[in-house]
Amino acid sequence: MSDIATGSDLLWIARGHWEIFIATYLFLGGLSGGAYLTSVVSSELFRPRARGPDEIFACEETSRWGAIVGVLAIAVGGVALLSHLGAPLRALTFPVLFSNFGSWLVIGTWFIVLFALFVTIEAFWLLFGEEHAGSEGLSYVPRWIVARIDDALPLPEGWSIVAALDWLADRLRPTGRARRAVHAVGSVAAVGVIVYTALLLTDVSVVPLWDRQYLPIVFLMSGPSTGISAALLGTVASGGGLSRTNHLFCLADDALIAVETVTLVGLLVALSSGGPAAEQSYELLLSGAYFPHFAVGVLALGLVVPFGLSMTMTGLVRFTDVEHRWGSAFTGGFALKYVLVLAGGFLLRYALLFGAVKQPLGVP
Amino acid sequence: MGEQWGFYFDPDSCMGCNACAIACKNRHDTDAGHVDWRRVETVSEGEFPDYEETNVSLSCMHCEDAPCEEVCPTGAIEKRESDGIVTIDREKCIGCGYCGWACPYGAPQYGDDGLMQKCNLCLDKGPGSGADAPSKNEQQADGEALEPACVDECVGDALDAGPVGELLDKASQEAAERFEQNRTNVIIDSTGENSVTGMQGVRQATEDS
Repeated sequence: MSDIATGSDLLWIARGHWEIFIATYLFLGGLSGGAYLTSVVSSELFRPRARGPDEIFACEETSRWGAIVGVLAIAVGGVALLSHLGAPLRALTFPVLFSNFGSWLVIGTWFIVLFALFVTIEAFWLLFGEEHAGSEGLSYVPRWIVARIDDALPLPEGWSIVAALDWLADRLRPTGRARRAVHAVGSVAAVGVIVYTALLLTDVSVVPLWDRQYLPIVFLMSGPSTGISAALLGTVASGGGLSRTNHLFCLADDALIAVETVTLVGLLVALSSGGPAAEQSYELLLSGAYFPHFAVGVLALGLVVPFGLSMTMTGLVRFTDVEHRWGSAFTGGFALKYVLVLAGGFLLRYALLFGAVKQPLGVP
Repeated sequence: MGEQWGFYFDPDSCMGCNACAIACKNRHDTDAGHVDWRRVETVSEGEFPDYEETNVSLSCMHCEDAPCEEVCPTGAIEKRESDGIVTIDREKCIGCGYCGWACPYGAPQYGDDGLMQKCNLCLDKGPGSGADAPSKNEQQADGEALEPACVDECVGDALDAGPVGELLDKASQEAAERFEQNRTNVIIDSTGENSVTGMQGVRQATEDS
């Protein structure tokens, strides 16, 4: 408790039961869900309307990057979560052990399991199959890695892991309405993962910073925002920085950032007059130990600067033709925006965990 | 439901000697340093010369609606109907720390093994003990109930433990009313100026908000 100014006649309760692994997990959970949603939106909404090979390439790269990032983030996030536990191996028996379905930790675990299944299948379908053999694109790195493993293994003549995966993907991949139904259920699971990471915190009633009115909205915006940023960072790296797909997703991200910023301001206003613990959190985030993380990292560099950068580039694209003359500068600008949003998303979870203060007990 | 057991604490009689905390550590052989099932906090008020200190001996409050039990994913934490004591089954605990955040009093402690441990009102000795112990009422009837170490070693008779009904008989009317408004299984009394009404009042306010 050394980082808060403890007032008299109050008994402050120790906090800090969760460390950076949990901040990492909360960040990656939201990012993973958001990346999957980005992949689905690109596949279902943007790809059918794409015109020309470049636009189709950008849409498909975005879909693939979204799914790949989703898989990686939920996998790394899961490891981060387990590594924080006192008995991680015991937690792996969750289907039997997790019996309290009133706990958000249990509800969230099942959301994660369901979501991990859908995002992994989606990545598999987008990377393997006959149509993907010989395709170009940076997002095919996982396929390339499997092919290298193929080469390295002493497999019998005519055997190939890539070919087997292609065969399997073509037989398991649904089309048309069935594929859309899979995407719909997967999206529900993705939103469940994003929102549960907030509800896990807001269920703790003695921490005013984890406000149940504001925090779910903040996470519901931040998750998809970081997901878009991670997936589109891949698209930009693949050469789709100047595509219409990137512009549209960037604008959608701006809308999320705007709502997130307004909601965070609402949270801060509520904290500023919300009692001793709320005011301590307010001080910690805006002028105390976590000022660099929250005020600078989240508000300035994670929200305001990316929004301003994006608006500037969007205006230039809309009203001038400089984008084609300074293409690499625009590509770099988009990449910078996405990196800042990702850094801000992580720092948001970090500041929310470490700036959390419990209601003190009064001793009048 | 069996008769509920709890603690009684009178801050006016507490001199802040920490005998209760040390006795608890000795009885349960908890990790040195950072694991305190019971702790004594000193709260100050005012400035010299109008300055006062109040000592507060805190442990698990064995809340009626234990928030730690509500968030525990595995059901390892149980508010026992037989005696009202909140216990932890460490065979089920995964060490997630969620109960630590949920508890308004800072009762859950995490030792070197990362698993939760806390006051069990001396149902038995040692971390995690007591989860499957007979009711404190049965233990008392059989003459086997351990007197809580903190009560045993309290120098100023500031702490007591027993069936809540008996504890209420010795409490002031104000303390009894406070207890009825927000039922933990700890009755906090005061005969003088140093009252800790807010300990339960703050939690009430938090839940109402």
